[in-house]
Amino acid sequence: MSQPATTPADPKVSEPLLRTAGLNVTYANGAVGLDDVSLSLPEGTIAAVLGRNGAGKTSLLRAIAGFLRSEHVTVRGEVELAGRRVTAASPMKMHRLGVVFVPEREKVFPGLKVSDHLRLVSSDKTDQPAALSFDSIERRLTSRAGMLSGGERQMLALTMAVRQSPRLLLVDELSLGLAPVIVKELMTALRSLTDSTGVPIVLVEQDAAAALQIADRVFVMDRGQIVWQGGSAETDAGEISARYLGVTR
Amino acid sequence: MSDDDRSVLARPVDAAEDQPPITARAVTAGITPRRSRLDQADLKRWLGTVVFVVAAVYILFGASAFNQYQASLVLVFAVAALGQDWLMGRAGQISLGAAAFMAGGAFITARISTESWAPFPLPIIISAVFGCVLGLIVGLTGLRFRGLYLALSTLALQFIVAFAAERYQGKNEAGFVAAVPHLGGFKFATVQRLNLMFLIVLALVLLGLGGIYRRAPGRAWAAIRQDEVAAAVAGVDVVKWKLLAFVGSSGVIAVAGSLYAYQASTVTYIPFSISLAVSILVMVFIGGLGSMTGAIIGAVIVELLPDWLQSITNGLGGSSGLSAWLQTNHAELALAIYGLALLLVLIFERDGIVGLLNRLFNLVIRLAGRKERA
Repeated sequence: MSQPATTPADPKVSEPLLRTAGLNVTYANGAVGLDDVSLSLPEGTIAAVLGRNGAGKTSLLRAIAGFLRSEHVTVRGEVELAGRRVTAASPMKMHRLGVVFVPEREKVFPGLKVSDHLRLVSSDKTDQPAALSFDSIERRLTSRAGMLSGGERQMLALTMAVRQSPRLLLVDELSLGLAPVIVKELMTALRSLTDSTGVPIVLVEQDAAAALQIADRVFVMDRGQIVWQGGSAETDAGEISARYLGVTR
Repeated sequence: MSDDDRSVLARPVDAAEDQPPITARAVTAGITPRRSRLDQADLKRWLGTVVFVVAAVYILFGASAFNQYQASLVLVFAVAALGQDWLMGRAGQISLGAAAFMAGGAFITARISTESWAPFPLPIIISAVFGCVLGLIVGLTGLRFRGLYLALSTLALQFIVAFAAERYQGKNEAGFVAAVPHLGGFKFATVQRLNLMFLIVLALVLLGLGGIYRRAPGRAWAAIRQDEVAAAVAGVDVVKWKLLAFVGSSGVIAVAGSLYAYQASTVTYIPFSISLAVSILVMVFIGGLGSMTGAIIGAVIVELLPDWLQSITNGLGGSSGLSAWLQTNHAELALAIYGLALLLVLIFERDGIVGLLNRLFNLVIRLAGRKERA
């Protein structure tokens, strides 16, 4: 990775890399995506954003990555990256600033080979060390991405994301539709990515237990608002699931 | 896995050795591909080159006068189809503007080729630049739209250009006459010599586009064609690359228009109708979207099919009933066959004739491999 000169930092002392303040998202039909969302994320930390479908988790990621703005959705409030106000930035601008988004869908190209995916994102510096790699991706370089399993697609998407030298990684619904063993592998990979490079991650999840295994901070969302937040140590996955995600214990 | 595929793997860090799921070792060794795909791509390129050279020699030295004339049209439209394929087959944008861009190149060439300040090949180059500028203007407005709406906005261009060309031509019904191109003392005065020039231009376009498609721009367009959202997520500047495809493709199609001016020697607005735009679209589809070979095959088929049909229906003999009808209506029959071919392509082989050729190629490779192992 070229950028992260940062060391695995102590979350309590370092400046927040990402900060949102009073972030509001209103869709064209009047639906409220986000309602006064304020959060901050220091380097070297992983934030899990939990909540039911429609709670505003994806709106949060897309608002940060600049995609909502480019779709003419009303975004008000502040998004700051390393102290710089970037609320109105386009997806390309955010990408240049190092914000890499791994969406829930539409993250790989079914008709392109795995190797083409990696070439697409790795410009000229192909011999730089990869902070993240998966055996099953390395074994399938000549396969078309359409032939990959769901887990392999997610691995490919993460590999591509990391090769774009992110300063901030936004991952939407990492575990969706994946076997627990794959989810564990992916989660472990993300944790060690942050530990080795300091790149902070915002991880949107439905699976509270899986997310809590690697998260430093937890935000629970409901109806566009953050309704609960805390450190992962003080968070009880079972209780969160029961209270906010509708999972009965 | 070829070396090229392998090279995209970065050297993994050897940190995190206690994390079993994250591999901290070099590229998985011991994978021996049966026959790498890249070798096949090279083989296809060589095959294509051989076929091109053989066809060029035939066109220049072996063909009858009529065949040479047919070849000149095929060569002009092969360039146009390559331009159309750039936008449609690579960047995945639908455009009905090909005839308009061709008209631009043709009118410019016919008008300035007679001027002393624009010796050959300057008219071709100026046509290309004009096409690029026109493409930029249309792209800037049209690329705000997607799919059908983009196609409709290029249709608007077609109508505007047709109107402007008709007005520009005015009472000059005979049209504008292009000067015979010459390089020093060498005049491209015969169809044979024109074909030589067309072949050189086609070869240059093929080499240029092939080089672009194999590199980063080609990958960016492939990504955009597959999925614009995913491309943006991967850091591809979707707007920029779409616009560049529009500009470049328009330039290439305008070059085809310029060649057309030399081929026909007289330029009027009449041939640059919407049906010309559609037939260039059909070339790309029938030949195989996203393939330069396909664009050329499409141009051959669409340009030659009416003549083939005519010679077949003439051969039927008889002056009454079906054969007489066929003899007088071979052009309509050709249109019906394009339509049928398009449907067949859409239903059975999305990759067009090149898709069929690829299957044949793979079959031969497999059979050869089986023989090798036996």
